[in-house]
Amino acid sequence: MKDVNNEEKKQSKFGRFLYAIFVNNLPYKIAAIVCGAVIWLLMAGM
Amino acid sequence: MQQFFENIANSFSTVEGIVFSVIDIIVTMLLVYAVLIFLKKNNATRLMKYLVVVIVLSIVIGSDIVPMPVATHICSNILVILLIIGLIVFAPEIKRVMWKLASPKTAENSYTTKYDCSDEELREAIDEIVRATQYMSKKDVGALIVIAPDNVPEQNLESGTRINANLSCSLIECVFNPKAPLHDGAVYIRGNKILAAGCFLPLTQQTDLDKELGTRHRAAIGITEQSNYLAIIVSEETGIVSVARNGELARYYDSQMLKDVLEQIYGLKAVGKPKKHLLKRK
Repeated sequence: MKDVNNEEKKQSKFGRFLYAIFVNNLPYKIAAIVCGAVIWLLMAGM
Repeated sequence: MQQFFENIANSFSTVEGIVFSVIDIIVTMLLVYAVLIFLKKNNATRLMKYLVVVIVLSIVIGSDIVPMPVATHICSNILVILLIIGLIVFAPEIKRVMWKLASPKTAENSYTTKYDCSDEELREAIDEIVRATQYMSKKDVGALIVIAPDNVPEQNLESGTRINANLSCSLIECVFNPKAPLHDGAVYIRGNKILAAGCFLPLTQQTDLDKELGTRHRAAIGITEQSNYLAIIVSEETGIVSVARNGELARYYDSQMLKDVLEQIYGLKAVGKPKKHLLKRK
């Protein structure tokens, strides 16, 4: 169990932004891109 | 099939078409991402794989790309059926998301409710809660107290025993006495009144919580996930005082920290920057 009194690692706002876009939930983002593209292609072609 | 590819090519035939098609693709991807993250947060990761396969197959068969009239007819309705099933299965989670969207962002606005008592009586009530909590912490008496800034729905109170008594340290200690019949369950407090005791709370469905946390903590997290209540927990095993708010648990509260958070929820204190002592999930 983590000690709740530990300080959080300091990260710049830009660093956190980049992390949120490119690292956080990356597999789900890739899945969303692939599935979104497939769904769009299927719906657009109908 | 040729018509299928022609339709796609037509979407990109003009500059305007290209722009709107790109925006359409991005919006579709964002919607799919929102659904995947919703399923991930609600521990339905396994469901994702089957859901994506079913949706893609439904769209393929539901269009007239392949000549299967009966399957086409069924699949054209499957998405509506899946949506209805999703709404039923994930009703509590959707309710929580809606509540979070509707809640004001600042804690100041969350707790501007009026109680049938003066500020002085509220401060006395806070002192009583803090004293009771500290006593139970020292004696390793388990407790679960829910502080409700708004009116509590009847169905929440009906699961327990109505008390409707003025709040006092002694009464709280009596309720949570291990030999008392109402010690199991939660106490609902609003203003300077104890509304009910022995109430059952919904458990959180989170699976990544610390294994040290028992049912009492899970119930506190569960009720605060669905409402703007504050839950105070005293651990029976360790005597540690924890506070749950908005589905997050913070542990190791001392009397001053507890007093501060109670003054905030009762609207007696300006909200400052929250202290970073939240229990992080593994």
